[in-house]
Amino acid sequence: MIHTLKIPFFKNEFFRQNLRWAAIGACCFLTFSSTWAQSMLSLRYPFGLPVRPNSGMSLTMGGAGVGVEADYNVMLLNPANLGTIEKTVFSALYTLDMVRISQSGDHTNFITGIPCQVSFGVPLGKYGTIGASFELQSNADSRFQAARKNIVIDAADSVGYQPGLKTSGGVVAWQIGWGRQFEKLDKIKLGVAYERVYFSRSQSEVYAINSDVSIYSRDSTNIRFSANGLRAGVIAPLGKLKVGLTGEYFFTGKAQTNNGVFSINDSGIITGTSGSAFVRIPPSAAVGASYLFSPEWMAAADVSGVFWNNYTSGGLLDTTARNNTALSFSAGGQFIPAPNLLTPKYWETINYRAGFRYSQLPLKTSSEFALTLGAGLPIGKGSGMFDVALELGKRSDTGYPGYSENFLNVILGFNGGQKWNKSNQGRY
Amino acid sequence: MIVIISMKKQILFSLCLFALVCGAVSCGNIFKPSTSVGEQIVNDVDPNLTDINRNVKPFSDSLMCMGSSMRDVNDTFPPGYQWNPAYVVAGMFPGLVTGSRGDAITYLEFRPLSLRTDATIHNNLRTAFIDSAVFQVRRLRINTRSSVNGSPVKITIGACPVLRDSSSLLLRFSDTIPFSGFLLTKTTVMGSWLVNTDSAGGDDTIFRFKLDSSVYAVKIKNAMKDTILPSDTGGFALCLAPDTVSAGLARFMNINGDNSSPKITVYYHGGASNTTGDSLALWRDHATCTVFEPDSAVATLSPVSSWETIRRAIYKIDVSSLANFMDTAAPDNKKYVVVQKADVSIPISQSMSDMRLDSINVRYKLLDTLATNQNDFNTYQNFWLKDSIGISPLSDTSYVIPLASMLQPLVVNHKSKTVYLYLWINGQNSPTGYGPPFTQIAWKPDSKLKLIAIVTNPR
Repeated sequence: MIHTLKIPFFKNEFFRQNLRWAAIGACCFLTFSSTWAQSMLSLRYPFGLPVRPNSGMSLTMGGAGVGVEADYNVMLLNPANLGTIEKTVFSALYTLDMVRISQSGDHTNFITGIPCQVSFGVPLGKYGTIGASFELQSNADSRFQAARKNIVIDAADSVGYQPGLKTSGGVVAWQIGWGRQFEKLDKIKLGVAYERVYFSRSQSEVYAINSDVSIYSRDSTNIRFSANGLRAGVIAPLGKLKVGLTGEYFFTGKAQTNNGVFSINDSGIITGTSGSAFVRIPPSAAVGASYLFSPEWMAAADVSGVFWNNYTSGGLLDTTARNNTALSFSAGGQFIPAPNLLTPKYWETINYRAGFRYSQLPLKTSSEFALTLGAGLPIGKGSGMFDVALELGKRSDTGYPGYSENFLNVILGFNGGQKWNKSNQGRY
Repeated sequence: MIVIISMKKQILFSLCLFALVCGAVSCGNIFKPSTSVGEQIVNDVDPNLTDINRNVKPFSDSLMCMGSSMRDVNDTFPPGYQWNPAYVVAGMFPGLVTGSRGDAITYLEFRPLSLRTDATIHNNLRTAFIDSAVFQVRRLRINTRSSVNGSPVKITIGACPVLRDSSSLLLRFSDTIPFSGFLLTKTTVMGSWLVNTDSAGGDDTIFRFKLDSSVYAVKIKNAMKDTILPSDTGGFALCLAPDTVSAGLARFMNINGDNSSPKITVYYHGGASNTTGDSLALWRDHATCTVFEPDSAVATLSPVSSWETIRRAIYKIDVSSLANFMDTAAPDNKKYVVVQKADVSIPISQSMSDMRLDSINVRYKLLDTLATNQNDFNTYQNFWLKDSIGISPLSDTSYVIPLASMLQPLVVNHKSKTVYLYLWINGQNSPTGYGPPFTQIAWKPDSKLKLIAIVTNPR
């Protein structure tokens, strides 16, 4: 009995089981959490706030991963990573986004649960590896309601007026890709992917009158389009250094828009218009590198750019976005206390990671900075990884002095894999 | 034991992790669905949205009332309105003008087909002696207004003529009942009885009245004669009318095929040597209520809404001032397109209901044409008007009616300058469950109606 009470809290099996149930419970709960991401600055960005697809590993390393060879990165940051994968894998990421929007001493807190991506990779032996993913690429959700203002009608009557702006939508994409390692080319890995992106944004200007009851009308504009995109990437191993390069290009898509003015409390439509135009999402490119100092230590860094000068709005989206390249830099490291021990303690198998990133946003004057800290918790005997991370950052725009968006993201990554066919090598 | 302790610890740890996440999420007072921070960003998206001087404008004016009138369901001004409800009414209801009265009269028709088609009954009755005929109705006790019904209602029962020509065998086949003539030709007043008025409601009461057998024995015998063609079946009818001095209404159940429906029970015996008696029930075959509207003098002075005649009060309103305001008050040569709020004050003169009600449900609708049929009133809005006590006028009482959603399509889409406001009483749902009260509302025929409006969204 006494011996039982001395069971180490982080004993492998015990902790693994607890993690599993806690993770399942948290996921069930978070699925039903609010769905209001909030970035007022995203109102100025044509496609909303950019969300860079990440695995749990890359996100906890500040988002660096273009030059990293890792199963659970699948094809998220570089399709060439598919050439690394030798077992069937999946990766999913869920973010609990807590934001504090502040200005001039006033602030509002928001919380949002956002499923970010789910990816799969399936090795086909000598034919390489194919991958598929569904991911969120931008988020255009925001809800604004001005402080109540008083409208004086006459000496006896006045009513409150509270205008609001409600926006929802963003860009989602599904991709299929292929990657392969070329032994004869110094084990260079190449990958390509086709993606189909879907953009939709519903924006409503809401006019609310408050007297005895609240009466509102709205002026709503919906924009949606789909477009094709191509991605390609390469990862070149140079000893302990690995260098990656990737790019993404989008073709123009025909966007449909419709606008309607709805009378009070949505009792009918007053007037409506519709139109269309060609829109192109700006292309992007990234270069990254990783260095394996030892089996315990690894570091990675990325530099990427979004070429907004190739963005076409068709007059339907914000035209004040930057007309140059929005640069981003991210870097991070990983430490595994005992990666090669046959019988390590559980905490010795945890992947401890940290990183930071800096990103220029679609407006010339806005940018984002974040620090990340997290851990990859092995599940099973090498068959999965549960990533938990915190991302603390700040978004601001020099065009809006005193305004900032401070965020704390709780990130949950779910990764798993299974090698279905064993190699004959090593048998005797 | 080891396993149990381990499981407890596992559950405890899982719960702690879960609670930690839930706690973070459920701190509802610190997380909000929207923000008022970042107004400058919103202004850059739409400079007008938060500008109270540009995007929204108040409007306060007195609309010219170009006249008021009344219109009923048939788009006419009939002498009386008839309907066939689940209950029938007889009596008097007071009008809005002191001393005035309206009348409600019920016509019940009995068509004794069974006298001839049922062989047994026919054979029994051919030689039978009619002992008596008893008329029976079940009265509804409702919570009536004591000030109106201060004394029992005296109901007279009359035998009514039934035409026997082939084209209009029974009055039921007539389109209308010639009510005035009907009263005049009421051949026999068979009697009357008093119905006590109720101030607190209560159980239903069955009223029985022995009819004059000298009248009905002949009628029944005539109905059985072999010389009457099958298509020329005889029938007879009763009317329930108010006595000239009675006050108040009596309501009687009229559910077809139900024991509560009006009926005549004929008691007979089979001749001098046969003392065995028997009876036969004749259920009412047709019923009609006719209402004479009171206060024709008031109608010329003010618009009246009344349930009993489905009369609608109409205000003809000039809304050109609002339309012009929406077209000219917006900045940058734009026009406001949304009538966000439009409250019109309607002055009321007086109201009257025979039931005790807390409030009267008034329906209203705005059209830019004169309504021509019942379908025009299938959609409406409503408000509750506080019931007045007795016939005391509600001086200087106005009801604010929200008209924005109705005014919006007329002013903005139809470009209408003149609209018609219809006001009528919802008679379908009585608070008592015994059918609608006899309710009238007289509105003030003011020449101006105050409108307070908010218009938004210049485009």
